[in-house]
Amino acid sequence: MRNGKREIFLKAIRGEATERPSVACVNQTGTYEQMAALGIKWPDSNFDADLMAGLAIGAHTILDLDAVRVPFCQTIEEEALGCGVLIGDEKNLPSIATHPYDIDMTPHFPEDYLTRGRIPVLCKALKKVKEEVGDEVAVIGGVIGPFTIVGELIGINNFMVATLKHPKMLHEFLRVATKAATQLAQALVQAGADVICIEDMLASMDMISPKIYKELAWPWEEELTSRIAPAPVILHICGRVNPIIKPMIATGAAALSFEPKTDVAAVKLAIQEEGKKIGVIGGIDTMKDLFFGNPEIARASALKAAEDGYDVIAPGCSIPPGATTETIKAMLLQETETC
Amino acid sequence: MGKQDKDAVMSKLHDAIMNFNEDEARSGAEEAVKSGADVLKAVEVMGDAMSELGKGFEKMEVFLPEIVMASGALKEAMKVLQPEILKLVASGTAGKKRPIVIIGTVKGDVHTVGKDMVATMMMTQGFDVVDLGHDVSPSAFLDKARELSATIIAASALMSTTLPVQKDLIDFLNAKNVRQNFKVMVGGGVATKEWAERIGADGYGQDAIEGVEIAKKLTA
Repeated sequence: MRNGKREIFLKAIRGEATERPSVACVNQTGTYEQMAALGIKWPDSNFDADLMAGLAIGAHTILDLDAVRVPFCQTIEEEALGCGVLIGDEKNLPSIATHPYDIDMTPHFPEDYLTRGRIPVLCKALKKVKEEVGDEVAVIGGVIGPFTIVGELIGINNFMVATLKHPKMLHEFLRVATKAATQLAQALVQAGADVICIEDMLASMDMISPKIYKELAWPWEEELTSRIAPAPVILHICGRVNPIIKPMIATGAAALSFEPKTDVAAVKLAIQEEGKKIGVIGGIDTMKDLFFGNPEIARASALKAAEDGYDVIAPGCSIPPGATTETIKAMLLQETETC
Repeated sequence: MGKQDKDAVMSKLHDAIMNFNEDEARSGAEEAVKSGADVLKAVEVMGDAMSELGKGFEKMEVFLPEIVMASGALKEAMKVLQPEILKLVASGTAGKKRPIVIIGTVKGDVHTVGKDMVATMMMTQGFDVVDLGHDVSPSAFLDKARELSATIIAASALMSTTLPVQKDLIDFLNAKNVRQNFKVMVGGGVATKEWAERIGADGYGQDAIEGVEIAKKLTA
């Protein structure tokens, strides 16, 4: 029997061969065209479980990708830990407006964390996605990496300075953030997630040095990944990640997701040198290919991504909501075209 | 204080930025003022140091925490130097008029790290910079630009969802028939040169250093 979308994706993220290239997006998938087609819009679908699930499923029924994922925004853990959130609107996702801590304060982990803010909405949405399409496509639960959560808890500028001047003062924050991400990830697995994607945006080399990554981001990513096991983890870091690729491999993640500005050949070589079998996800430039691009450009990049050895052809980060369905679907390659 | 001492002050300011040392930057600025050194030159020296760090950033030899701390040191020094620059401006001895830049992150976007870097760099390179922060509407950009007779409006966007607001800003200025009164620059993680051209912006900077160079060309 031929593998379906779900099986293909779950094999691909482990770096296993598949009969056709898996195509998916492990970051946010909502687009304005899907919203119009489904009659489900932001900001409501960031606050209501049924609407969140309904729009997420568009990644399967409209975009024809191999996986669906919730949530769309990157604010849920931070909100539950005390950050103020702007709710966004039809065009814009929720964003962090206020940071509850200064570096010299002691962070507090609320015992009722899993019932706070929109965490119950997210868990319910994932459960609904799993019930409705979980047999057909892989279901990804998204969580934010501990390093990035701490950045929002104390504000990015203060956080950047603290990574150099007061790294030890960040440890308790990182411990609390790891606990928050772990509890959410485990709840999402319990709700039916096949895979957890950790997005640790601030751990990018566009932000910090490899040394800071190794000392302050990596240990907590590793701990989080180990606590999510046996569920597979995709570790996504934006920007250039070549200098940290070996520690990223050492987190124990099943797959790594990054932007095309990273040299994928070097990543594949590093994986080989470490003797690991790890899926490599990406190859599509979200802005050049999907937002400014067109179906021809997106298709050419997808073919190149397959040729370059990406296990899952995917946007290197979130799908731009303004990208058209036609352009996104141009990433879908048939088995005769590759492998 | 002799030339040698003034040179030493300039060197101290340069090193304070390169070493991200706020205390040294502040005391260097105070020494510069006390000694009667050229305060505009002092700002330029610190700007050069910021540019050196910026080049290191491009090559992944310097990282954002260092840039943020260097900006902090520069701002400390500017607290001391800015009043002296204003005195020079008031007395007409500041040389060429310093163009005014209104900068901000566009409506709906709260990301400020890159915009802050551009604002800091511009400050050191002969511009008077007014930073409106984040979530800035087109009308807020225009109100402040009109109030201060600004030369440049600089709008940053980090996300694909807020990038179109840069176009909204230019459309707004056109609709108000004031587009020709200002040079409009755009930037941010998702903006490109092609995008800037498509929406009719006057300039685009891929990073803070390029942004300043474009601003200089636009005001030459």
